[in-house]
Amino acid sequence: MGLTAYEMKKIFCIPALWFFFVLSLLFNILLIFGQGDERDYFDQVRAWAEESGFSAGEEDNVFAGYHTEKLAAFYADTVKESPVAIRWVERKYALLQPRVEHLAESGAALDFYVGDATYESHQFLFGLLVRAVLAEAGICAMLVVLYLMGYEQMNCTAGQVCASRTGRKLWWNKLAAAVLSAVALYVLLAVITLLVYFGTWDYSGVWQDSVSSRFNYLTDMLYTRPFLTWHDFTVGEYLVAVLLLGTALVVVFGLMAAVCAIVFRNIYGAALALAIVLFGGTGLGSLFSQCKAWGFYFITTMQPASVWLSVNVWFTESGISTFLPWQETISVAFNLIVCCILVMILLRCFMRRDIV
Amino acid sequence: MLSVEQVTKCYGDFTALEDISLEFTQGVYGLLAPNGAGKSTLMKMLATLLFPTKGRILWDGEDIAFMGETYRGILGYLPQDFGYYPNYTPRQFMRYAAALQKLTRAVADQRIDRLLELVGLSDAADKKLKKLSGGMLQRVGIAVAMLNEPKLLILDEPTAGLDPGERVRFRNLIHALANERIVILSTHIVSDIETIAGQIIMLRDRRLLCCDTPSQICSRFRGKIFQVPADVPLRPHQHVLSEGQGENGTVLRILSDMPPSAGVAVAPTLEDAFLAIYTAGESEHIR
Repeated sequence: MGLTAYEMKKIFCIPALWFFFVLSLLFNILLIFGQGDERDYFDQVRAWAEESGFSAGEEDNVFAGYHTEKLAAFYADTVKESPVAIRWVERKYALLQPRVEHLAESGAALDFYVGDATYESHQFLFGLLVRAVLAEAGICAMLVVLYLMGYEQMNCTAGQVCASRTGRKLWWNKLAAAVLSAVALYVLLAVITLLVYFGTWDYSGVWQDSVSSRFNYLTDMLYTRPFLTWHDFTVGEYLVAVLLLGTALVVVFGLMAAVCAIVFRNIYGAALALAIVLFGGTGLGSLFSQCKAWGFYFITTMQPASVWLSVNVWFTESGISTFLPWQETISVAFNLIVCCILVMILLRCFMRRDIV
Repeated sequence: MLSVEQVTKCYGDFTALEDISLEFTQGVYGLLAPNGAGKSTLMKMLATLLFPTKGRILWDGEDIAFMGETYRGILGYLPQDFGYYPNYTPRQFMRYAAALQKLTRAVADQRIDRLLELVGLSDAADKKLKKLSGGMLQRVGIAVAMLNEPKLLILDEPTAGLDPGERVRFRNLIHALANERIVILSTHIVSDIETIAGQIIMLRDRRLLCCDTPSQICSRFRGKIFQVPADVPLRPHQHVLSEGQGENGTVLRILSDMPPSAGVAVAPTLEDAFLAIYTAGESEHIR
């Protein structure tokens, strides 16, 4: 058995991890079965659409003649205290206009999705269920990384390990094992949760519909607008894209935990630092918005916790949650690169660090 | 050959070791000093867990700080507090240690069986480590340290917490392992190394006090150690080293430059030397 496999074994032998995993699954299942009325309505709408052979006309194309200038003006007014933020917002919505025209041409809005049940079902799936899965997987990833990085310290084996032929390089194996385990747990959690969800919510016939159906919309700061995505997504593609980006976000959470674990020799100190970074970062975002320091606020929207919070609007213009097109993707990629660089630098320093 | 060249180790403003120079060739070296004298710091530097603030440590002329796994591959290390995974068995733990030493599974299994037998733990090979006694755990520790057949074996206070029987068994084991390698064993218990160490290293006030054979160290106190009845009044410069039970009651072993009245000269032991140096402050005898 390779060292990475040995390290993974340490993770999967923690009863508390499986307890948390089962608890998370039960919570997700509770969420799914707590939506009985919505599911009944979802089924009724689908049945009606099938029976009536629903069709849409050109008048239903909500993107035809739609201009993003109104959105730009609305948000420019919201962030009027910051000239920089105004520029960012105007630029974002100027870039969105060609997308609107493309969506109008493609007739994405004419897709039925699930009609009047679209908004609730879409928000439940992406705004609640996937958000819950990501939160649970993110917590799992951080705990797994902290546990494994501090394992030798907890068992007083750091000296023996560091004096072995592998030495401090074992921490690379630990990192690989922790990240792989975190991704595996995320996949397992997502697959089981979604199997239960799609087992009870019948999406057959929906997968190929565009998420930008006219029945889908977003409301941000009481302003309702169509579901404007930066790329053409069917429901199936959108789910896959969200889950894939979610994988990268889970890895980011894990790497953040790794950075804290290497910097702070004490694992509890690392956990505290991580909590401060995550909660403090989102708190800082709220503080900036309250102080109307919109430029700084927009920068805080790039942190991982903020990206997670905006999961229900990923790949869309996202309103006040973003200042860039594809911001969630850019943020995750940026955080991933920064965390990787930090981990590499810190692990290199760790190779010459005293093991007291 | 292992050489320590003018090594100093500081933690911020605190100097743990200062200007230590030593040379190690094949045999058992006993690092003898009271608690807090810097034994573990020196051992950890030899095990590359700590890096010298000044000076360097060489293995066959090469700085160990830059040898990486080449050096660690010839190193066996048993720390003062042997850590283990409580839910692993000795065999599982040794397999993991073998993976850390980059041994193949076949070689590892062969060595694990041999070493478990050598340390007398064949019967406990598949019991959980948390169920083993302190002595058994220490024996697992030595087996783990021996997995890569090290040329340099570093044992940091290996007998701490062991009962007398376990200590004797452990001593015998170390003696058996001492052929064809350098064994450095730190302790503050004189009897641990008195009979097995070829050289004794003593540290005092963060510095090296001596590195000599036990007999040479003892010989420096010849004619200065006396046994006197406990009721004999002592003069200044006569230091009590230890107290014991003689045929006619309690007797004291004392350090004195002049024979005391009613005193009988006795052959100095390493323990006398240790006590003379560290409690009576007679380090000038040893320099």
